[in-house]
Amino acid sequence: MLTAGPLDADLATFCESGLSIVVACSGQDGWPMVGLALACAADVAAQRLRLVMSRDANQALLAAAARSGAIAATFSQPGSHRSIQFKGGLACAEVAQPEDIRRAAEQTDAFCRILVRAGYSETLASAYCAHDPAGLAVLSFSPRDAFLQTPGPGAGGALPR
Amino acid sequence: MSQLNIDAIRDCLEGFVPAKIATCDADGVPNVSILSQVHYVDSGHVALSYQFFNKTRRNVLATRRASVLVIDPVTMAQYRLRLAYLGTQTEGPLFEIMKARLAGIATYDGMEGVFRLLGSDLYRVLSIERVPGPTLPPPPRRSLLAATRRCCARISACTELAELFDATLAELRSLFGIEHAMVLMADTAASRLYTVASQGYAASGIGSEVAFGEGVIGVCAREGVPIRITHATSEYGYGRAIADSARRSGMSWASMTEIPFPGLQQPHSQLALPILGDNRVAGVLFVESTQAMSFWYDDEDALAVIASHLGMMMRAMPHEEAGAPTAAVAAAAPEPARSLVVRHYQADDSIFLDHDYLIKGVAGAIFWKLVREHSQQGRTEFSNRELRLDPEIRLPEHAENLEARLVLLQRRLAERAGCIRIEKCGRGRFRLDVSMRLVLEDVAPAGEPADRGAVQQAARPREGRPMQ
Repeated sequence: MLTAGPLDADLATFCESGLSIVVACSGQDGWPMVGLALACAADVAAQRLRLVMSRDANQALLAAAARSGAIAATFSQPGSHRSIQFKGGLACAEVAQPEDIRRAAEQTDAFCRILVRAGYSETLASAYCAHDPAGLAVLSFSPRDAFLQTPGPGAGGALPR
Repeated sequence: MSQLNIDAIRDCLEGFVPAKIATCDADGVPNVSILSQVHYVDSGHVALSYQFFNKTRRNVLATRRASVLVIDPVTMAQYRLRLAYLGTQTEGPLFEIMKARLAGIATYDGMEGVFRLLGSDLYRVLSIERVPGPTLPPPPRRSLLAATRRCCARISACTELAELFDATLAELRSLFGIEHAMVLMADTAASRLYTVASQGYAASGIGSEVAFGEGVIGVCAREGVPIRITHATSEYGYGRAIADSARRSGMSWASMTEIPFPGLQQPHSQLALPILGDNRVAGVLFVESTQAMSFWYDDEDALAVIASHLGMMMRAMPHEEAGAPTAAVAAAAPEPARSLVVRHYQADDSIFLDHDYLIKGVAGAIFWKLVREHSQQGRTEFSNRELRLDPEIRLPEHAENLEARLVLLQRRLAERAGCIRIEKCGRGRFRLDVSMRLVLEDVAPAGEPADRGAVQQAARPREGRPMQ
C-alpha cells in the first residue's frame, strides 16, 4: 500500500519561494558533508525535490549523495525563521536543465530581496546569491520525512502527513 | 591539517552570517541545521553553541563528527570545516564568553529569549576547505598592529596613574577611533569595580560602580577574560543590572549613594577587557559603540594587548612613598564665612557634602580621615604612606590600590564642588585645599554610638556642629 509523502502544496510553495537551502549527506568515509543549494523545484505528485546548486562548490557532496542515496535538506526563511527539514533517499545527481537555471535566477533574486529586508547590504546580499548559470547541477531526492526546525518550542518535531 | 588555518578566517566566526552544520547518526543518516555561533578558541579549535537537545546534539554525541559551513561577512567566501567533538563546557570563561556573544546574536536574529546557551561544545579543527565560488574583493585593512604599538609606546611614557588612564583613553580615540571608553578598577574585597576614567559620555560617571558578574564589564572581571558583544542586547544592559542591584539593596539608600553609570543608553557593540595584575583582575578596560559590529576578533586582540600593557604599567608604577609622614598645618587664615557640612556614615563610609553624595567605601574612609585631621589639627598635607598604614582606612592587604582610590577621590572632588580639592605637592604627598568652614558629622549605624570623633546619632541630622 502506498503511503503519502510529506510534501504537500503548502510546503512546495514555501520551498520554491526563495530561501536559504542547506544540504547534507554522508561521505564515503562516514563523515558528514554540508553544502548550499540555490533553488528548489518541488513536485508534490511525484513526491520529489530538485535542488539546484553550484557544481564546483558541491562536487564531492553531489558524488557522495548519489552514492549513499541519503540526504537531508533544510529550508529557512530569514526574518520569519520558519525552517523545515526534509530527509529522504533515492538521491540522484543530474545535469541542470534550462528550467532549473531559470528557477535558480528567480529564487536567488527573491532570496536576495529577503536578505536586504533582513539587514544585509545590497552588495553583500547579491554576493551571497551570485552564481554562474552555466555551472549549475541538480541533486534530486524523494523526501520521506519533514521536520519543523523553526527555533523554539516544537523544533525538531515531525510534521504531520 | 590543511594549509588554511582558522586564524585566517576568524571574520567568518563573527556571527553575521549564520553557519550551517551537518551531522550523521550512527547509521549514516544525515541531519542539517543552522548554527547560531561558532566561536574561535585558538588556531586549532572552535566551540559551537549548544542551545537545544536536538538531533544535531544527539548525532554529535553518537559520532563526534561534524561538518560546518562558515561564510565571510565581508567577501562572502565560504569555507567547510571538518570538526571532531572533544567535549562540552557548561561554565567557566569559554562558556561566559559565548553566552554573552550569543545574547547579542539572539537580538540581531530576533531570537532574544529563545536562544539560551546550555553549553560550549569544543571541537578540534581537522581541515578547512575553501569552497569555490564568486566573492567580493576584500577591502584594504587598517593596521591594528601599528596602532597598538604606538598606543603602548605613548602610555609607556606616563609617570602617574591618572595620566596613564587618561592617555590610554585618548590614544584609543586618536589611534582606533573609539569614542566611548572607560577604565574601571577592581575592589576585589567588595566584588565591585569603580570607574576612575571615562571618555565620550555626557557625564563622566567617575566613582560609579559595577558589581562582578553584572553586564559585560562585570562578567569580564569575574571570569578574567574579554567579553565582546557585536549587537545590542538587553540581557547585558547596565540599566537593568543596576536597577536590579538597587532593588536588592533597598531603593532609597542605593539611589542616594549611586553615581549614574556613564555608559551609552543604546550600545550596539561592547568590549570589556581584563586588566590583569599579580594573577588577579585589577580592573577592566571597556569600550563601546553606537554601531553594530564595531569590534571584531582583531580589535579584541589589539585592545587586549593594550589592556595588558596598561596592567603592566600600573604594576611598574612605584608606590609613591614620602620619607616621613607630614604634618603641615594650615597657616592661620580668616574663618571663611560659608560652611559646608561633611557627613560620614560609618556603615559604608559614604560621604555627603551638604546633602550631595560624594563617595563611599575605602575612598570615603580616606576622605573622612583627611577632613577630620584638617579640622582637628589644621593639617593640609598628607602622605600616601600614612594612609597606607592607617588601620581605620582598611585597605585590602594584597590589593590595596591606594593610588587608584586617590585618583578617584581627587576626580570626584574636582567634579563636585571646588571648595575642597586634593592636589599633589611632591612625591607621595598631596595637599588638601579647603576654602570653606567644614562642619563634620559622623553618623553611626542605627542603634550604635559612633566611635570616632563627635557624633550626631540622628540618621540625617539637620544641623551639625564643627569638630574642633
